[in-house]
Amino acid sequence: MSEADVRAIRKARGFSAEQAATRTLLETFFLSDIGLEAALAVLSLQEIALLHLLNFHGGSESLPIFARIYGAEKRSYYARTFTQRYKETCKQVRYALVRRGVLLMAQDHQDMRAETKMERWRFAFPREFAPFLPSPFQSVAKFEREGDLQVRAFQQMLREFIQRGSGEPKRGNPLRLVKGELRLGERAFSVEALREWQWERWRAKVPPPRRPAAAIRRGDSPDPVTAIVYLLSCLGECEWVLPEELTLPLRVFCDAELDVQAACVAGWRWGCLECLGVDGQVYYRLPAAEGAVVGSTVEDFSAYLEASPDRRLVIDVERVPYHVLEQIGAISDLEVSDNALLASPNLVRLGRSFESLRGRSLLAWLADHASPFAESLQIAEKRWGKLILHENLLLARVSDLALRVQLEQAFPGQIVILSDDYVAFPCALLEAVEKAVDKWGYVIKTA
Amino acid sequence: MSELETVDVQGLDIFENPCDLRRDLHVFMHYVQERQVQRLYRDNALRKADYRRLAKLMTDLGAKEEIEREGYSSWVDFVDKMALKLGFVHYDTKGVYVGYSSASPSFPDNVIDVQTESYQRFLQLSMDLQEHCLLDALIKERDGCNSEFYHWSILGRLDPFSSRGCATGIVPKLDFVRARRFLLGRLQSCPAGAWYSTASLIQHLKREHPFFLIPQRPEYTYKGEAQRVGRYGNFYEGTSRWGDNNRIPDEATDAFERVEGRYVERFLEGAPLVLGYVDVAYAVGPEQEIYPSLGQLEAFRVRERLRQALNREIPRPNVTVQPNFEVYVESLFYPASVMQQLDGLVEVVSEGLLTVLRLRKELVSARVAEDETLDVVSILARLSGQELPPNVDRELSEWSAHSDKFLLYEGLALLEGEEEALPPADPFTVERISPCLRLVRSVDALFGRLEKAGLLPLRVRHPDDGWASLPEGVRTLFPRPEPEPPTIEPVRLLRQVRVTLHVPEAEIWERIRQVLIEMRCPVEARRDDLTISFSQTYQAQVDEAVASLDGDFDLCVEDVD
Repeated sequence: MSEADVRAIRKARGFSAEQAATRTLLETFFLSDIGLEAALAVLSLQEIALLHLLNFHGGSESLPIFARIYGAEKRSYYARTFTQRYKETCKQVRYALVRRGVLLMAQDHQDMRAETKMERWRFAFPREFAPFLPSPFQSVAKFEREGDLQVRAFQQMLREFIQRGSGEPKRGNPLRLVKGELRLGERAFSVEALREWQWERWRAKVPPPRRPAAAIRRGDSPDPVTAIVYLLSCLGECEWVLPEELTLPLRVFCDAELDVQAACVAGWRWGCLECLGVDGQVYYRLPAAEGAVVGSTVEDFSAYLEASPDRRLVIDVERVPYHVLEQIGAISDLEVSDNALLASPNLVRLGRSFESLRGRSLLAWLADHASPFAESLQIAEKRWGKLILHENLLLARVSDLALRVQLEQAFPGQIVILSDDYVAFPCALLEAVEKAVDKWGYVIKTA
Repeated sequence: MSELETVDVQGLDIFENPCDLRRDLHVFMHYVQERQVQRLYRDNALRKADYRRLAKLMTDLGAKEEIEREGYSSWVDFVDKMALKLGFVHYDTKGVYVGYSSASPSFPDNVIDVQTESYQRFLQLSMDLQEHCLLDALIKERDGCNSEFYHWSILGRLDPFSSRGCATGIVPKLDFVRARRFLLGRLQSCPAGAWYSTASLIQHLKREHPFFLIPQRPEYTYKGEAQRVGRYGNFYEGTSRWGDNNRIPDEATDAFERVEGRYVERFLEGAPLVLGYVDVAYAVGPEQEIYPSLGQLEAFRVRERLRQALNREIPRPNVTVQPNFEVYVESLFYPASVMQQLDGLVEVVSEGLLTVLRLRKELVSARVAEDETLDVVSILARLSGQELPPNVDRELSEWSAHSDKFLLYEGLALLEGEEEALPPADPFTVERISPCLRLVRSVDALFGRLEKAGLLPLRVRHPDDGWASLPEGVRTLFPRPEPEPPTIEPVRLLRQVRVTLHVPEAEIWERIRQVLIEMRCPVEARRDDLTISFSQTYQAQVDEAVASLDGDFDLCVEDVD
């Protein structure tokens, strides 16, 4: 950096003479918050959006990405050299961002593809500055209300799935039962799987714009959904935003014009965004809670679970919270009969999930209200933890007492005495044990 | 053969073969069995590293020096070729022509392949038969161009005839094997221990067996050679090695001495010397006047082992086990079979006609650990032909039992439960080590079986370097790793104080700098801001430098902060 750059940074950030007495001192104080808010406050919305993009990417970026806001030499594009294309862009970046003390600038000499100085410039937004980045939106609204989280899509699928029963799955409905296990596509149903599936659906509705040729590409862009999620994560508590507010930052993020309205609607339809209608306008934000079902509290199991006369548990798919459905699926055999989803306890599944679900209120409710589950839970309580299969360890018969004692003393806490003649020890200890046994004049025989 | 003259060898250069082919052959086999030996790509030789290691183990004392000088050892090569000839090893000797215009073959990935069965069969033969195989391998060379006429013996000094024309004339038709056996038979009839004149042997053969090598009417390779080449037409001699040499005329009165006589000399340097059947004595004298040399090998002495080998009377090795755990092996010939049976049980104390070995407890235990069926006591009793000393017998039994003290199970898991009876686990149980602990195999299948049986098993995979944390409520013998309390270790920060002098004028700055340079004081002098920075350690020197300018400038130092 030239002296002019250093002076400009000092002035823009308001460093004192002592703080900027030398470059080393300046480097020390550069990453502090001194004058940072004020420096960021004077940036344009486009520049803020770009800094958000740099923050999203992490690492450093070369000049082309800045052409998204500062443009580049467009005439005879392919006939121009890199330096000719981005000379002005570089100037703009330097004056607008670097000299404001909000962006780091350095040469990357490791890039073997870079042939000129211009190509070697790299710019990085320090992660220390991220908490001070202003909102990428022009204006945000504040409403202390719950929005509408669309769960209909999945509920519709559940309903259709129940109605279909054991018939052929409908195209586009990934739900099916395989040996008593509810599957969402190829995965066992879970809130996590559902969330990922929703995002996949949303992404499918908002495909990324076509990537331009490498020569004219202006940096890497995230896909629109990821960009929207990042931008909406910048909202504070009770903050909402209109879709139009996303237009400019998305243009910077994705380097393309997108139908923001359609993207937000699709996000809401697939349960990935919350929306709120106020005065004829629809605001959006990321969901506050995952998988909550409106109108039902988590603790009120009786609202959607009922023990049927034939001892199976009937699940109201319209009202059951998805995480409860996940937990029930983890310990039961599910089946569809007479337009209802029924659950019977499965001891094998219960054994696998017992450790993670133990103590949960669902199990307590099942024990009180569903006798088959109560019986299974009693068995689980009685049997779980009593039979352990230890693997990835080494087992040996040491028939010499003196040798056993020597081993215990040489490797305290690592040799487990199983019985009079048998010991166990971790695999990584084998080399040390072999050395020690050899040193003491014994031989290891292998069976 | 009473007509042979005895000779006083005083003044002659006596050579007794120090190399033991039998021993070195087995050393070579041991070496290639223990490691993968790959031959060189271009010339198919052994690698220098292998040469060096083998030279250390073999009996040719000059091998090391030869390797450093030439890059190979001819004795090691000889042993290597013998092993190949005997079928103990196999490797490619033909090679491939890799390139379109390759002038010589290459030998890619040519690894020495040990023919274990063949070697074991040899070791199981009696000493007589082993010796017979060795001798056969040496004398059954039928190619005339590779005969004693045209090749240096591995241990010999006598130069051969020029190989010019060796594939023509009578040489390809001569029966060298028969001739060699005949000569061995003649040597066998010489009493052992006396030095005999080689010339007298040659004269005896000329008189009694003139056609022992070249028949009276020899066969020729090509038509017309009888007239053109003649009986001795394959053999040239002269006054220099590389110069114009002349054929030995058939009609010369000493033609027999010059051809067959030379053969006999070189024969003595061949198989008989290599196998230690004879010793030889060379003339010490003026420079060689005739090529190839004639009459240089003046005397030879037959050893007892020649008779023993040819009559198949080689005594069995005498093995004695001492109470001090030493094993004495007395044998005129290297006791390969005995050594092979004791390999891995003993360490070698000394070698020779009497080889001294010592039984080692850790070696015996290790061997028994590898092979449960090994009965060391029986082996030693069989070899020695008698019972072992009682203390040795007792200790060996204990040493063998010692190998059972630590038995490591591989590939098994541990099933820990509270119930003794566990039918689903029975088919997978290898050993029950206590009522509630079992060593089991096929973990996946077992776990599935236990789950299906509704037993709610818990599967714990321990990390390689410790024990896994088990959930609360689980009853187990295994320790629960506790989180280690954070340790705060003392860290030393080193403080260095640096002082910077800001000088207002360039001229003063330059003067101070010059003085400091002359004083060899390490400072950082920056012209752009007229500063001089240094570690506080050098404060006194800098003060001295500043003070030295007192006559020219009125300087005082003021602290800024």
